[in-house]
Amino acid sequence: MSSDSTPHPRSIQRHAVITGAARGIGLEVARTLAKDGFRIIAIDYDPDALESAREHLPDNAQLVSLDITDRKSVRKCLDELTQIDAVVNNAGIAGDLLALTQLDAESVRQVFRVNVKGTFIVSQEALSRMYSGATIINIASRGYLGGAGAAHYVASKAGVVGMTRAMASELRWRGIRVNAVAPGMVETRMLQGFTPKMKAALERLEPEGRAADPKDIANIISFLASPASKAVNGQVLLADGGKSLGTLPY
Amino acid sequence: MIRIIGPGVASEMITELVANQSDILSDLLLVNALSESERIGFDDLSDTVFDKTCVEDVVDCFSGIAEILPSIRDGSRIIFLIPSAFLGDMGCALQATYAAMLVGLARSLALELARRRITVNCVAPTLDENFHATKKTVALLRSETCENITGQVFLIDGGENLALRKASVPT
Repeated sequence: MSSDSTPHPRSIQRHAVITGAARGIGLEVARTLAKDGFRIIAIDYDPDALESAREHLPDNAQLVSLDITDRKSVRKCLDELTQIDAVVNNAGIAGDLLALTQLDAESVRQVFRVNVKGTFIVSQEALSRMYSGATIINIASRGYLGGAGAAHYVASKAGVVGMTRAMASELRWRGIRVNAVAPGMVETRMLQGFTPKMKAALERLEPEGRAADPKDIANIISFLASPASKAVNGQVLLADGGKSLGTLPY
Repeated sequence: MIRIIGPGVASEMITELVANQSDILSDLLLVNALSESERIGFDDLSDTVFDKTCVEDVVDCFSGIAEILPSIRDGSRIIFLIPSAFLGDMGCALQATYAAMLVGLARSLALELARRRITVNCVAPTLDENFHATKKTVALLRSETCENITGQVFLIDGGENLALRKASVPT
C-alpha cells in the first residue's frame, strides 16, 4: 500500500452497503455481514420485499428502497453515512433468455443499465466515503465466460469483471480493494423463470447435482470483506463448484 | 461480402485492414469497437460518457450484428476490434468495461453460431504501433487455418499487458 493512501478514520463501527439485498444472495450477504459486525445498509428496488427482509436483519440495519440507476437517490442514501467499509454490488437482472437475433434493443439496454451502470453509480458514489482498508465486491456470474441465448446478460457480467479489474488497478493506491465473485447456478428467484423440468436438467449439469445455496456465496463475500483477504485484489472468484472447468459429469 | 459496422474510431485504418482480402469463400463482418484511448480516472467518469460508451455503443453493436446475421453465409467470420485496455489498468475503467462487454458478446455469439461454422473472435490491438500485425491477424482469422478457433481474444500490444505500465503508478 502506498504512503499516500488515506488512513482509516475514527469510527469503530463498520458499515456495509449491499444492493439487491431484499432476497436471495443479497439478503444472505446482509445477514452474514451483520454477524461479522457490520452495520448493514440494505438497498433494494422492491419496497415490499425489503419490508419482508426486515425480520431477518438486526434492528440497526437501514433498509432503503431505491433504483440504483438513479444517481440522485443513491447519493441521497449514502450522504447519510460518514464512512463505508464494504460495498457489495449484488443487484442485477437476467432479462429474457433469447438468441441475439431475437433480443430487442430496449431489453438489452435495461440489462446493461441495471447490471453495469448500477454497479458504476453505487461504486462511484460510495468511494468518497471509503478509506484505506475498505473493499468493493461486485457480483458477476460464471456466465461472464460466455453463454448461448444470454448474450446481453453475459456482456453485462463481463463488463462488471472488466470494471472490477480496472477499479482495482486504480484504487489500490488508495488502499481500497475491488474483487468480483462469479457464482454459478444459485437457488434464487432468477431460477423461477425455468420450468421444473428445465431446472432439473440444469441441475444435473452442476458438479454437485444441485444449485448452490446463497449462503455458499455469502461466505465467500464475508471473506472478501474481511482483512483476511487483504492480499486479494482485482480477482474474479469463480464460485461454481468447478463447472467452469468444462468437464462433463461422469 | 466484407462488411464493417460499429461505433469505432480510425475508420480509414480499419478499411485498410481488410483491403485486398478475398470474400469468395466466406463473409467477413468486422465490428469496429475501437475507441479513443484517453485515460479518465474512475472518480471523474461522467454518466454521459459512461452511458454513451458502455450502454449505447454496445447496444448498437448488438443491433447491428442482429440485423446482418441472417444474411451472413455459414462458415463466415465475425471479428471484433476492441480496445487493448480490456484487461484493466489505471484510468481505463471505461474502456475495460466496454471492451469486456464486447468480449462477453463475442463469446456468447461464438456459442450461438458454432453450428453454422461461423467463428467469432476479438482482436485487441494498439493499432497505431501494431497495424501490420493487426492486419495479418485479421487475415489469419479469415483463413481456413482458423476455422476451429472461436470465442478467443488476440491481444496485439507488443507484450505491454505483461508488464506494469508507467501509467499504472501514480506520480
